[in-house]
Amino acid sequence: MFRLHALFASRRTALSGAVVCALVSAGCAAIPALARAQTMTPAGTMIDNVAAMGFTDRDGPVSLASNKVSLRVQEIVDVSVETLTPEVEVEPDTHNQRLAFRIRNLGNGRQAFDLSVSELQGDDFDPQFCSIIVDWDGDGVLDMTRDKVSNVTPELAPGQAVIVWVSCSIPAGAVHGALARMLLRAWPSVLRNGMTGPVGNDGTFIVVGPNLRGGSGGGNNGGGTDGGAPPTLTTFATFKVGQVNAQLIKTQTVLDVAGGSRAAPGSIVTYSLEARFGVGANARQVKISDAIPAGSTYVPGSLAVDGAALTDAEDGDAGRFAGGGVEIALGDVEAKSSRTVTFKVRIDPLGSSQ
Amino acid sequence: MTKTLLLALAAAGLLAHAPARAAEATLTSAVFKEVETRGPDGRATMALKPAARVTPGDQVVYVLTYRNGGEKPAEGVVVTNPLAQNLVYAGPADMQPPLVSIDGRTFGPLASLTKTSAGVATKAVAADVTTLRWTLAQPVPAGGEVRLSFRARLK
Repeated sequence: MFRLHALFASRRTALSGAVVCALVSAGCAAIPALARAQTMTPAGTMIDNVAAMGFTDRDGPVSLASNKVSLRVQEIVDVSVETLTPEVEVEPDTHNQRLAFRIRNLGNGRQAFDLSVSELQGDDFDPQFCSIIVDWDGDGVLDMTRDKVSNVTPELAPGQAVIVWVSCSIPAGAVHGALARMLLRAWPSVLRNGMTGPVGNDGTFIVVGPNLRGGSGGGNNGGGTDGGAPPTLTTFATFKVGQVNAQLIKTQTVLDVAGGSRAAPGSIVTYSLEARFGVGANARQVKISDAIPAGSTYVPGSLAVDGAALTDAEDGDAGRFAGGGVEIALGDVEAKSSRTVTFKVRIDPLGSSQ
Repeated sequence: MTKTLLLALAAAGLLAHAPARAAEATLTSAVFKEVETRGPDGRATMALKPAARVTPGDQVVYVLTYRNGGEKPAEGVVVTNPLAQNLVYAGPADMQPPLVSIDGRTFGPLASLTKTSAGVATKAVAADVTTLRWTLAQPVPAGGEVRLSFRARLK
């Protein structure tokens, strides 16, 4: 039997059999870590101040109001790039090998971001034909009928995030153990041509945020995986050449009740578990299991494999929801293939016992 | 009928009277950004500059100026400033700190206020403040001017 477990938080996966199961912990952060309330006042908002006063003179009490003084909130543009797959094992002479990143709009206006991928100088080998695929429909699952190769993100609301994959070919000559470190940069499209003036949302002026200001390269380094600081090894996503048996890569996307991406009570979290099997995978009776995280509840009927829905009951199909988790039996899987399991949970109301 | 008419007349009289008295007193509100400037001796001083381009996180200073343009002192002067919801109170900007309120009814120093959420009382924090109030202890003489100020941060 060949069993892949996905565990939450930063715990490594359990595995059985002689199978390498690399759980990408960064993609499996516990739900509270995702909760980044977006509280910045939107660009273009007017903030009015009127004071009032009262006093008494010889004719009795008097009250009056001051003039109104107004501030117009200008736009901060900023972005973060987060590595969801710090290290992915790949084999020589393979295609469509993917690293996942999350791009988040940290400004207070709606903006799209230009994307570019580069490779750290002086690493071991050069991945080829790299393209950037944007999770255009925002479901966290790569599906080329709905997602697309693009060097720009959709327009993101303040605080909203989108997943982006860097997909490359691994050259035949890449030797075992070799590393290729890839850096994804995001830059506000509105600043593409060094535009200045009132080009922000609602005609506001743009102020560049800290992630885009810092770092080397005269400010052009901003918005990279490194968040603007000089690149460090830990902030790159890395292709590592090895003999891949199998690995499980987990990513998540959040849809809140307002249509944003805030992790809050009522938000729906879609988990994607991508099981990849390399040439070394002579995989029989593959099973994937994953527990529903504490503080959330499985959304009935949301289990699917490669986009095809499965029932929750233990019946004729491959999946079931039981005992606080999902289990999917994929059966025998061919080498050099991948399967993607998706399911949804809803974040419980605050104070509910779990 | 007569009563109604009298009331109406009284109201009209008040309305006619109020602007005349209000004109004697003025309250102006202005907003500035605090900017550090260095003098020739290299010493840093804070200066108030017009708050033109502000963004979330910026700190601004509101200055309220009351001028008693009348001929008599004004007693019991109370100035109230409700905070816009996109502002967080960031403390006094001069030697006259206001009393603050988190509900618009009870005023006191911030440390004296508590808030209750789901039956649990906790100390109020600056982000809870909704209203500022200054009560002037001394009458403001005729022709006198009083300046009050506070700092706020943009959410």
